[in-house]
Amino acid sequence: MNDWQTWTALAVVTCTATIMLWRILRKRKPPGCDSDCDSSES
Amino acid sequence: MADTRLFALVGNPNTGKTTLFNALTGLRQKVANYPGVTVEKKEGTGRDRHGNEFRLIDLPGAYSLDAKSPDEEVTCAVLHGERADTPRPDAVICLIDASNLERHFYLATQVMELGLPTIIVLNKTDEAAERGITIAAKKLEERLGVPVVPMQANARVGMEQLQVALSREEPPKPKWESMVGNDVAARYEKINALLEGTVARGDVERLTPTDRWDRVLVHPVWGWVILLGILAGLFMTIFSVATYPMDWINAGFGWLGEQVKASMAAGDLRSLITEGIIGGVGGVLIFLPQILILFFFIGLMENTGYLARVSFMMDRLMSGVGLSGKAFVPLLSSYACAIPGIMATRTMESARDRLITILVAPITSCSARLPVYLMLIALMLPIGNATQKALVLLGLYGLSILGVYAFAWVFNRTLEKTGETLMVLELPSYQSPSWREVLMQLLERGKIFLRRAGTVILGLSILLWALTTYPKSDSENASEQLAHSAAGRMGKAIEPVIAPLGYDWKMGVGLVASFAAREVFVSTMSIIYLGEDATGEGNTVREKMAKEKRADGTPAYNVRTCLSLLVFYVFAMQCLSTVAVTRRETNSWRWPIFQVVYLTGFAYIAALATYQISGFFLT
Repeated sequence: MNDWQTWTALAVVTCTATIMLWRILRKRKPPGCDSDCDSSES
Repeated sequence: MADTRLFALVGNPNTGKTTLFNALTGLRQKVANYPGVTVEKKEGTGRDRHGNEFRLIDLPGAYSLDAKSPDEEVTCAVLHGERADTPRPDAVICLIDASNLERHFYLATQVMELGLPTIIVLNKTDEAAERGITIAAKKLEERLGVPVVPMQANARVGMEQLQVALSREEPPKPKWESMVGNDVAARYEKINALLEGTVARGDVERLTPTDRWDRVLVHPVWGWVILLGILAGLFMTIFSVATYPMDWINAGFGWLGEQVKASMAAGDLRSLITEGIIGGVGGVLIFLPQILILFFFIGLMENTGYLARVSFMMDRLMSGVGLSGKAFVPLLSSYACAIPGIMATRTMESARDRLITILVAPITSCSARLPVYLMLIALMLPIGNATQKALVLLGLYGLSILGVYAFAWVFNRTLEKTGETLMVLELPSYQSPSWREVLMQLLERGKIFLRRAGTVILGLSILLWALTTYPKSDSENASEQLAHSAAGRMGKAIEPVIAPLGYDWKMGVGLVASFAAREVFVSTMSIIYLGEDATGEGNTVREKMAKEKRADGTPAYNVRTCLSLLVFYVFAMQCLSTVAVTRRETNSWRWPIFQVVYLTGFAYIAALATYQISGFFLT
C-alpha cells in the first residue's frame, strides 16, 4: 500500500468536492459582470 | 479608456449584423450574457482610420423598438440607456437590408428618433441590384442628415466608407422628425415619403438566384426530399467520418493511461488518475468529433440561409401540435445540447410557445446521450452489423422526436392559451458560406465542450471515483470492494426500485451518478468496471460489461435490459445544467421541477413497460 498515494488521492477528492460545492453555493455575480456569466452551463 | 467611444450595432435579424460585427472587430470580441436574462451580449473592439480604438456592441436583432421578445427588450433598454450593466451607446450603426428598405426603415426610423448620432448602413446592395433596385445614398444622406453607407458586408465592400463615417469626431444627429404614438400605417407613410425619389425600381420584378433556389428548396415535395437527404447525410457523416478522430482520441487516452501505470507504483493516486480522471474524462471527450461535425453542419446551414427555409417548412408540421416554426431551430440546436437550444427560444415572441419548447427541448436526443446510446447498442448487439446498430440509433432518435411531438401536443392542450402570435420569419437570401464565421462558431462550440469536460465532468469523475473506492473493505475481491463502497451501497439502496426495470445495483450507481450529466453513466461504468479488474488485463470496459452476470448466471446486460436502459435515457431529465438554464429562462423553480418530475417519471414508466412487455417476446 502506497500511503502517500492514499493521502494525496484523498486530498484531491476533498479539494474537488470543496470547489464544486463552492461553485454551486457561491452567490450570483453582480449585474456589472460582463463575461462568463454562464460559462459553467454550456 | 474612458473616452473610448461605444457604438451599438442595431438591425433586424438576418441583415448581416454579425458579419459586419466580425469584420469590424475581428477576433477582438467576447460573448457573454446580459445579466438577469439569457440574451447574448456580444462586444468587441475595433479601430477607426486614425487608429483610435472604439467599442462595439452587437445588439440582438429586432424588428422594432416596440419590444415583444426578450431580445427586443434588451435592444430597446440598451438604446434607451436603461440597463445598469451596459452604458448608453455614444452612437448607433443601424443596418438595413437594401433589398427591403421600407420594412427595415421601420426600426431605423425608431432608432433615429432616440436622437443618438447614427450611421445608416445599407447592406446587401448586391442583392438589391439583382432585384433591379437602385438607391441614391447621397440623397438619403441629405434627407436624414446622417451618413448613409452602401455596403456588401460579406465581401467587405464599403468598409472604407464606413471607416470614414466611424472616424468622424462628432457623428451627426439625424434630422428625422419624431413621431408621436405608435401608428404603424403613419410610420410607413412617412417612410415612403422619405424613400420617394431616392429609390428606383426596375419595371419588371426580376427573378433572383434566391427565388430560383427557393422554387426547389421550399417546394412542397422536393423541399422535403432534399431536407431529409441533407439530414440523412448529416447523421451518416456523424457516425462514419467521426469514427477516425474518435479512435485517435481513444488511443491517445489509452496511451496516457499506460504511461501513468508504467511510471507509478500501484496505489490510490494511480487508480484516481488512470480510472477516475483519464477513464472518466476520456470516456466523454471521445465524443468531441461528433459534436463538432454536428455544429459544422448546423453552422453551414445557418450561414447559407438554408436553416431559415427549414424553419419555414417546419412551421406547418409544428403547428399540428401547436408549436410554431420558430421552435424548430431551438429544437434542432437541442440535438447538440439542450442548453443552447433552450437559450435559442428567446427569439420566440409568444411566451406560451416558448415555455412549451423549453419543456420539451430536453427530450431531443442531445449529444451527451450519444456515448450512452453507443455503449448500450454495442452491448445489445454484440455481433450485429453497422446497419443494424444504425437502425437502433435511428429508432432512438425517432422515439425522441415522437416524444417531443406528443408532449408538445399535451402541453398545448393543457397550458392556458394566450393570444395567437403571427410568425414573422425572415428568409435571408442564399449566400456562399463564410468559412471564417462557420469555423469561429465551431471553435466556440469546441471550447465550451472542452471547458465542460475539464470542469464539471472532471469534478464528477473524481468524486465518483472516490464514491466507488471508499470506504475500503478488507476483501481483496474488487466486486466485494465495490459493493462495500459508498456508491455500491447507494446502488443497493435503490435496487428494489429499479429491479422491475431489469437493472442491478451497479446500473443503479450509473443512473444516480448520471443525474448530474448523462454522459457520466459511461464514466461511471468505466470507473466501476476498470476498478473491479485490478489486474488490468486485456478487455475493454464494454467487454467487461458484456461478461457481467446476474446471481442466476444470466447476462446482466441482455437485450431487454439494454432496451429498457435506452428508453430510460431517451426520456429521463439527467442534466443539472439544463435544470439551471430552465430555471433562469422561466425565472422560477416551478417549471424546472415540473420538467424533472414529468420527464423522469415518464422515463421510469416507459422503461418499465419496455422491460416487462419485451419479456413476452425475448428472454
